[in-house]
Amino acid sequence: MIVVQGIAKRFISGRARSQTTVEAVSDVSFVADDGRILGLLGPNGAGKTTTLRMIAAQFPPDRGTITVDHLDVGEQPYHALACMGVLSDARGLYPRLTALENIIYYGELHGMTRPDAVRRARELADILELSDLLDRRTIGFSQGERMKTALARALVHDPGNIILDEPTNGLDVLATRSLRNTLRRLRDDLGKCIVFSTHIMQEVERLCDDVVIVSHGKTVANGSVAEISARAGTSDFEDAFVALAFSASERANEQGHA
Amino acid sequence: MTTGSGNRWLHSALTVFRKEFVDALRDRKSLVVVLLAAVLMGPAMMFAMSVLIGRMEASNQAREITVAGIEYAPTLANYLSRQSYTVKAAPADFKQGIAAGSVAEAVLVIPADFSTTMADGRNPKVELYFSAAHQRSASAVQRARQLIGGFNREQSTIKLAMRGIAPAALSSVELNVRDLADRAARGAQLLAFMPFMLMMAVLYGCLAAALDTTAGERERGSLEPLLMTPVRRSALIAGKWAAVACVGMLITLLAVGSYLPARLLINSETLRAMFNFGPAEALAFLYFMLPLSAAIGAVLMAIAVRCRTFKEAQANSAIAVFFFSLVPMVEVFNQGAAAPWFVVVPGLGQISLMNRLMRHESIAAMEWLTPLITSFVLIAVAIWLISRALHRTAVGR
Repeated sequence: MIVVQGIAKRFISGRARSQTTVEAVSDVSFVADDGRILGLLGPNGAGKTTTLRMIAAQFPPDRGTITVDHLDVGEQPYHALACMGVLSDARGLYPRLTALENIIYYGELHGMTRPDAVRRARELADILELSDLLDRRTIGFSQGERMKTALARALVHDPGNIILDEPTNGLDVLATRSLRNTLRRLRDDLGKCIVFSTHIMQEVERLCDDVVIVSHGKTVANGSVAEISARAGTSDFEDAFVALAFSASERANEQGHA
Repeated sequence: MTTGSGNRWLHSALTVFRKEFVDALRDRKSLVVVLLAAVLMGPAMMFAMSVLIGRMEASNQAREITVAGIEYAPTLANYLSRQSYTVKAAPADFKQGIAAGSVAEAVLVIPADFSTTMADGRNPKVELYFSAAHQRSASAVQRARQLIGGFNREQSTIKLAMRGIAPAALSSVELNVRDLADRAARGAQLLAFMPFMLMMAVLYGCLAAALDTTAGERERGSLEPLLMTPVRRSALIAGKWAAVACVGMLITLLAVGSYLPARLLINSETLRAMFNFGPAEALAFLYFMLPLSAAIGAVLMAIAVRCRTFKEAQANSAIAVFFFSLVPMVEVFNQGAAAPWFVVVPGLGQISLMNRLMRHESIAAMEWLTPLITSFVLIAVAIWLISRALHRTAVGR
């Protein structure tokens, strides 16, 4: 279970006069329960990736708290990270290692013994339809193959909480569908808590039990797809998203262009 | 830290080390380049030098002088044959031949009026042709000068004796030249490039691995996922540095080792006698260079860890590469004894001491210890810089 309460983060870059401040996240809160899939939906630059990075203990929020399985991420980052599997925005693999070596490296970094990591990597390869690729070096892997390897790497230690940053980026239709099925199985069969960020409407509609809409660094709506549509007074989820996530002037601009 | 978390730290560091080491060894392209450029280059240069020196020796030993018009100077021909020199006739087009380096190194030209001018009591003019562009000409020129000088002395001694004056009146001071440099010291002068080649091997051996584990990791986008595992950053840094240091030390081992059989390649007797590099010297070299290669690895990592791309890291590390590859030059330019501060400068200290070792000079206990200390200080500072850079990393921004 992941609980995010009123987090904020601002980045300051440059020095003295050329200093610029970017308020990446100003007020994001949500609760992601076990056995459910939560979608973090928002336009580009809304603060989704920054939020996920803070959950993964990459830097502390300026304000607010994050707990993962009741562990405070700020106070016990390493223990919290041990309960998480994160597929981040950056998902680089080691090109000179095979897919299997890439996966077991992370298993061992999570404290698993080598035989355990190998066994688990093979299990995941079965689930993700990756078995044929395991002994090949990852140089020259396709986008989808990379994604699956990175996902297996993130899940190798069997974490209770799974965090995915725009996991379908660059995947074709079949790969996207197979990923969706995998996530459903992880939720239904194993009761994992899954949080993923996206800007794609259909993905949220098809997959998510809960949706959190983030815009300009703030949580603007929260609930199931049906609830959010109802709140915006429309039956179409895309219309609801646009109504909630964009300001009146942004919408006017969009119509002007259209 | 409890025993459990201590074990955990060690397990993580070892895991990182194993992965990075395997990864670096699989980078065949970089390794082959380093092996060819740095490790094999030294012995190859040594072989080339031994061929050159062998040739110089051969022409020194051959008591030969090339002369045009020897038939005009029977007295000189008589003197030369008494010095057991063989006179070789110069070909007609010797001037072009000398410039091209295809004829002898120097040609002495006798004018047709040599004998008559001498008989008149005047000084005939002989000319010596050579090309300063050819290094080997220097010894031939010196030989010709000495022979003509000897001939002059003999002639004037005869003339003076005929006038009843003692030949000693010609020279008031007698000069005896004695070279005190022993064979090892002369050899070390010739072989000063050897520690330099070693330094290059170490530098380029570490470079690829150091950049790949830091800037390369960031550029590939594999640093962020790595920092999202519960591995202590100190374990991560320790494992990465240990792997880079091991690659560097492996290359050092190969480079130093490659000079041992190099002795067999040397076909110049003199050079072989002067080449003072046996197993004992190899061990001493390793003692100096192994800690230094670990330190250079750490320094390169400290520079590269701040860079976002491999290319940027290469540009930034050029400063360190430049420093360590030019530092041996100080020793070359500094004619005479090594200054005491040499020992304290990382790189220069090692090079200077290795050269002194080859020259059979004594090295004090403190001088043995100092390079080890500077290497460890360098490692400590670099590791501190790396951990500061990694702790500050907000990877995405």
